[in-house]
Amino acid sequence: MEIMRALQLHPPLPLFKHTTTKSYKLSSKLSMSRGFHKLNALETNSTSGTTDLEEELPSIDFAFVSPKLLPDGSPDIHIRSTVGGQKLRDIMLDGNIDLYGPYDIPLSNCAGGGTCGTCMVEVVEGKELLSPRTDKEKEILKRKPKTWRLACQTVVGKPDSRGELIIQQLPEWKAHEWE
Amino acid sequence: MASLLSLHLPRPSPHHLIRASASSSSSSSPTTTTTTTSTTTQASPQSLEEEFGRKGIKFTDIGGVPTVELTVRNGSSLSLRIPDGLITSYKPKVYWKEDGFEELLYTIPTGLDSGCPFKGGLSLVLHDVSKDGSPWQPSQWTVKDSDSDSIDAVQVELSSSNANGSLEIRYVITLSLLCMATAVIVKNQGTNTVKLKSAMLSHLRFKSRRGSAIQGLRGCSYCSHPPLSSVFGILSPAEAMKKEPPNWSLFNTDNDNGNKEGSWLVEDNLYTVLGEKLSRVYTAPPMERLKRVYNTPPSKFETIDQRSGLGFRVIRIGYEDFYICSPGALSEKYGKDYFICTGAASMLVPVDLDPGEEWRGAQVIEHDNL
Repeated sequence: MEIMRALQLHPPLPLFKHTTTKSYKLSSKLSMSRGFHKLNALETNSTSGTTDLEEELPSIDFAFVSPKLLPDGSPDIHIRSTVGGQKLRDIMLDGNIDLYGPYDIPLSNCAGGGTCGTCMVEVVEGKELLSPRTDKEKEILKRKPKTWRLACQTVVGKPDSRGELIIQQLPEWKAHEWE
Repeated sequence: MASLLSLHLPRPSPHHLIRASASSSSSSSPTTTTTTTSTTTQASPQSLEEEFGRKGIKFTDIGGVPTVELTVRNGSSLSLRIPDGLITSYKPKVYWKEDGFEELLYTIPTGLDSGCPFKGGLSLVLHDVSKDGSPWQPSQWTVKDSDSDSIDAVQVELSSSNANGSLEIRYVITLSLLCMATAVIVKNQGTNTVKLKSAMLSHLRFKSRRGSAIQGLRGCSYCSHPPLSSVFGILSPAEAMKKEPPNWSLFNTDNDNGNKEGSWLVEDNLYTVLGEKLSRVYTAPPMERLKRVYNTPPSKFETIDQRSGLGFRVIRIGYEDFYICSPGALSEKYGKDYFICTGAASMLVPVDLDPGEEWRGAQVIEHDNL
């Protein structure tokens, strides 16, 4: 029995096709706010035959990778999609993604001030969408890899941007290496 | 925590097969069956012990039913009834003191003469919903393999299949120092695509009804939904959905009396309180999953029991949903302690399994109470 699995991670770009591996038709009528939509039987397919990617509002897709792997060795990834132009910290907190880890308790972080350095994330892919490092970041992340950013100082794209971003949460605690 | 699990077990070595045939031919045990009729019945506990017994894996006979007891170095133990595939007990070591074990599962006697005399515990529910009518479920399990690394983790594999052999199911139960895992591997050996719904129905025990909650589901969508029906479920699907008469107590905050079945809401609270009656599936709504990209539901949650101070984390791998049911006042009918029925599930959207394809799902219950 393999107790330790060989870690075989690499940024999985096919990630965003995980939603459904089978083909589907996207109807523009389905782009409504989540949570308050009356559920229909899944067999009644949407009527529109065309994929309406042009009509879909521009948004940026995120894959957040947890520092701890799932017990079977596979990565623990959470997908979110939201409009650009926001700070990465706001996107993560609104999406209930663990940003601060052990520093999530009151008064253990500076809540977006750019002074405590606890909101560090590693940008695995998509750094071209992000605003450049601010002076505060350069100071705090002086001894960290160039791919690390402070989520409270980083702005992701503009309201009309599209793209994909892979973010490693809590890079100091991660139990695996990206290739 | 170093140990990771694998859903692969090594193929039984020829040595094992030779031992099996030798033991069955010379078996002189007074108890019932031998391995000659291979599919539904299995050898006595003595020959099972010879073939599959290891350090930490013991086959015995409890109430006339072959049972396997798994134990690990820190004393945590797990008890599994083989023919039913029901885990009747999981007692991890949760306190540092001597004998600091607490039973996590809630198992009650049914008082019936035939069939399984227990309900609750932890069981695998697998429905083949390819055809209309009542779905096929696996009902008879036999031991296929066992493995142990002699100190930290032990594993037992059961197998079952349907009448014409088109579905081969492997159920792997693993016990480790701080966690226990149940995994299912379904292989379609037939020629038609099969649709499956599955859940790991786990009845977890709580010391306090008022202080029981779940953390980690904030932001996740949910809807009121009955559980998959199972002979081991304490609450039947109808009972789980029945509305409790409104009581005017101060705790009447979080029940589903207002929700119609099928309407989706988003969990706003940091804690999902489990004092009142509810039966919900927490997942991404099936219609959302048709979109190009959708918010993935959380992969784990933690239970909180204020009176005992213990917490357990339930992790889903391969499964899409979490099913959560709390009985509310109905728990008094079944026993002194409070319990909830929860687990990883793929129950809203059936999984399509093409011929030759394999599907895997697992649920891990771990804790860091020590």
